[in-house]
Amino acid sequence: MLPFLITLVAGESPYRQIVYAATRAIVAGTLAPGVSFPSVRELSMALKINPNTAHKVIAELVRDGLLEVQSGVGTVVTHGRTASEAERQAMLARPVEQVVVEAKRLGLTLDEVQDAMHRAWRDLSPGSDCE
Amino acid sequence: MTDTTLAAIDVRGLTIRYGRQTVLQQLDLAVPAGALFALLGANGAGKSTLLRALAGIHPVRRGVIDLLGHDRARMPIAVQRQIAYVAEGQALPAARSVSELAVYLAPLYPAWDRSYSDQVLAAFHLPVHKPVGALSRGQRMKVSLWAALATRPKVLLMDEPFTGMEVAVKDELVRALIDVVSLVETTVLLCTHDLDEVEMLADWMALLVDGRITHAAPLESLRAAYAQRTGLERVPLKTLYLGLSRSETSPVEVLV
Repeated sequence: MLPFLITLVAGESPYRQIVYAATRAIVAGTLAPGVSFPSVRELSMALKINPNTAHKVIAELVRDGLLEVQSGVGTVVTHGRTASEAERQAMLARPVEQVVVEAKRLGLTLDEVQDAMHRAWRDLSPGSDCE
Repeated sequence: MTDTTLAAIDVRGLTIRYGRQTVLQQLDLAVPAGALFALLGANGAGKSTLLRALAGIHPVRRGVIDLLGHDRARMPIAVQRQIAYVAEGQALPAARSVSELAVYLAPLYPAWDRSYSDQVLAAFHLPVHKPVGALSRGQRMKVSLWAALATRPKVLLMDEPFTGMEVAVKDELVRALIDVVSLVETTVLLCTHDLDEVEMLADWMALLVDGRITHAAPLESLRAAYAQRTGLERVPLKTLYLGLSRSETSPVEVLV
């Protein structure tokens, strides 16, 4: 049993799907700091994915600062790390702009988008009832 | 991990004919060490012939096969023992039971791993005292795979391992393969029509059409390139296989 929710969809990169699901669980606090993350073997057995993929997933989460390797324990969820100014600016530029473009194309109002953004932000914050 | 390592299997210019019929034509294929490589292609494309040539069962007169850095034709026995071949309908000594088979096989393979052998047997739920001839088709495939795995092979060649198996048995095989790749660091080359089974398992794939490899790349890159070309959001292996088989008779296209 994995400590985060995921249902793999055929046809999309399993690697990206798992990195996203784990990141989501970590930022939402479902996977709390200090909790140990599944090993390569546990991850591949549970999801029936190639161990090389599982290895890449864990390496990516370590690189992102969401997991850290503790000798003798395996990988555990970190307390998070501070993003660089460049990373923050990158997030605020392209992905936010994409949401705005798509919202305008569909005729949504700024209020509707902000409400949805607030809800998602709340749902993905530690302590919320979701998941 | 596969990017920087050497090819465990390297085939160059392999041509195989049956009488007047050319089955494999100037075939080139490199399988990176540690990959779980799915070889896909229609019936009669030459998949089984290629595996048999790699296993040393089919003689090679034109072309070169390198396995684990050794020429297939002049390979030391110690290296030959590190190459295992598992095929559907493989001949097994019908009168012997699995436990008798273990006693018989172990001394032939210096790398025979008794504890791993027991581990695989337990995972496969095989009746160890029944004669192999009395086992079901799925069980016999598991016997073949068990015997191959117990030798701790560096290269595992599998020809249609999932054919005619129940879902639960397929699942056991998939789990065994995960173990093989993660614990034993074996390179696996398998040909199969069971695309669902290898959807999440394979990290490389090649398409064999009329005796030639038309595509060979990490599954992820092929999938991404195909998604970009077609505008599809999702590219299940089935879609990729059908799409590539239809569109290509072109020379090798490497999208890495």
